[in-house]
Amino acid sequence: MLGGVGVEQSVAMGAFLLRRLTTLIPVLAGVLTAVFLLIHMIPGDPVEVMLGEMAMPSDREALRHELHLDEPLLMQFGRYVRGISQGNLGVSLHSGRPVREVLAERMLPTLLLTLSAMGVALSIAFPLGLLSAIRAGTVVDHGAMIAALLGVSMPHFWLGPLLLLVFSVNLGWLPLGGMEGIDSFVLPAITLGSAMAAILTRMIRASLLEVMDREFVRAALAKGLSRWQVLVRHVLSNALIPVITVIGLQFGALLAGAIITETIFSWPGLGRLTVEAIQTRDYPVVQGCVMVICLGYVCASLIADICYAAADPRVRLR
Amino acid sequence: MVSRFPVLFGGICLSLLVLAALFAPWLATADPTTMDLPNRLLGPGPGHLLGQDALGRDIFSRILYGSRVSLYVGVVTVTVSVLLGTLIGAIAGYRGGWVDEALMRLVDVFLAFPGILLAIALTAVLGPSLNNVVLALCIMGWVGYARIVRGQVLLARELSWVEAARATGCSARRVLLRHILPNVMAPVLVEATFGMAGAIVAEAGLSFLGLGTQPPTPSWGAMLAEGSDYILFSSHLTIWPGVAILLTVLGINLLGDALRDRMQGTGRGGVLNNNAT
Repeated sequence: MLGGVGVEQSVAMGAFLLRRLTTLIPVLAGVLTAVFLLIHMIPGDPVEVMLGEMAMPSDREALRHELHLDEPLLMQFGRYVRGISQGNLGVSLHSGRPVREVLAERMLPTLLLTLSAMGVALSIAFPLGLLSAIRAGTVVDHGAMIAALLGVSMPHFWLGPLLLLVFSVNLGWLPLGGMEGIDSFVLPAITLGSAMAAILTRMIRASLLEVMDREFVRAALAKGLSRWQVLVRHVLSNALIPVITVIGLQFGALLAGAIITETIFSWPGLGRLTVEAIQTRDYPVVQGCVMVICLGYVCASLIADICYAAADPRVRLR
Repeated sequence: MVSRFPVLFGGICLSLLVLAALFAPWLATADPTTMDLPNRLLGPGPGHLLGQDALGRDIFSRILYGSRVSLYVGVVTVTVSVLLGTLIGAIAGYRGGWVDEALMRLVDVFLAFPGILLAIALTAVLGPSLNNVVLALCIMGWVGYARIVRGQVLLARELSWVEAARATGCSARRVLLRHILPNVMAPVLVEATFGMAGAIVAEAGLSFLGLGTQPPTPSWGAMLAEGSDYILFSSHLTIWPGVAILLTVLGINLLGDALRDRMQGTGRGGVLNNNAT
């Protein structure tokens, strides 16, 4: 009997995974198409924009041929998709190196920064959200919610310079930029993670308050369990399920937010590469960066959905 | 009294933004683009309330004029995005079937691009300018409204008074415009409030990266970028444009929160909190 239930659950999870993976097909096709079309959205002649007005006609023709811009659009798209499937993202116009290589060098710093920011966000949001919910309506709650509101409203590109001003320029405690040693992670991680911390604090508080209102919490208290037992065993386990989805979505947002944070702190990651590539009009690298960040975002939300389905059986049956 | 404070504070912040944008020429103490190189990077003093920037321009006047850019981007982006999103969401929800399926897959594709990335990519290829920023923000902005309106329309089209309207022979357009949409727009209004704050931050972010408003037009994001270059010597360049962005976004978020709470009602935590006190 129990084995039957286990098999049923596995089948439901398998069906959920299949459904979820099927929805990825149009999304990935759309992302591929949008990234491919980026270069074609450049007003006027893309080759002239990349090389400048003073470029020799022969150089222009050479680049046009190299990027296959002299072929029909559909043929270009086919070549592009074939290239991607073989891991070929083109060649950087600036350095002449394969885009894949350039991106690979910059991925680890961005991943480390994003994970550190997430660590900062979670270690602030969980205690603060919990405290705020169990002390709802008190000064503690109001203080936490004001802090969260400030966190949501304060843009990265102001918080980053302010932190630099205080902790690097005035106090001299932390480095001004770059990625050298653990202390170089502190300010970028706080800058990037602050908004996520604020959003998660509000989310965790709201989710806990909603669960605390349910009948089963009243029943658990009525049968004599202590407040902490009810909170840990019944409230937290139910309230944190929807938070998983938000963490997944926010992880993707961190990847995009890294573009500005890395620029402020001269962080050698994908975000700064994106800005550098835009400034030097290195469009194959811009395309590569956009694609990798999008894929990271899609993967994060996929993993979040799978965790959500694993934690809440009702999701699998929808 | 306590619950009214956020709304009051939010209202004051938003009013200040609108007043600054409307009356910038009268309130400004100097021309925002006139340079005064001998007095560059000078701190706050007589005639220059918040100091002067790297080209000797008056920071207070530039912040006042910068509010025009922020308000323009916020209002235009939200208006266009709401109209486009409502149209697409209403069609998807009301027609259902393959139309709904196709439009929602399109929404999924847009949702695969995180936040500001698509705007950065679009302004990178279209060229840096204020109008291209607005265009890019509208292209990515409609998606949230479309999802909300579709969900609301799906619920509303099964309601008895909508059935009745259909039974009396109203056309699909009339049912949507006269009977469904006016009754489902409340969540859109809440989303639009947060959307306006998001658009203002996005414009400032793009201008910070050099992809938005171009010099000499004053923009808070571009002023912050300039401030970052001189952070070692002149912190006033960084502080004041940031305060302007923070107050604006905080004010709009407070109003959005209040609006949402009013429409949805808030939980108080029930028995567990009653026991806690």
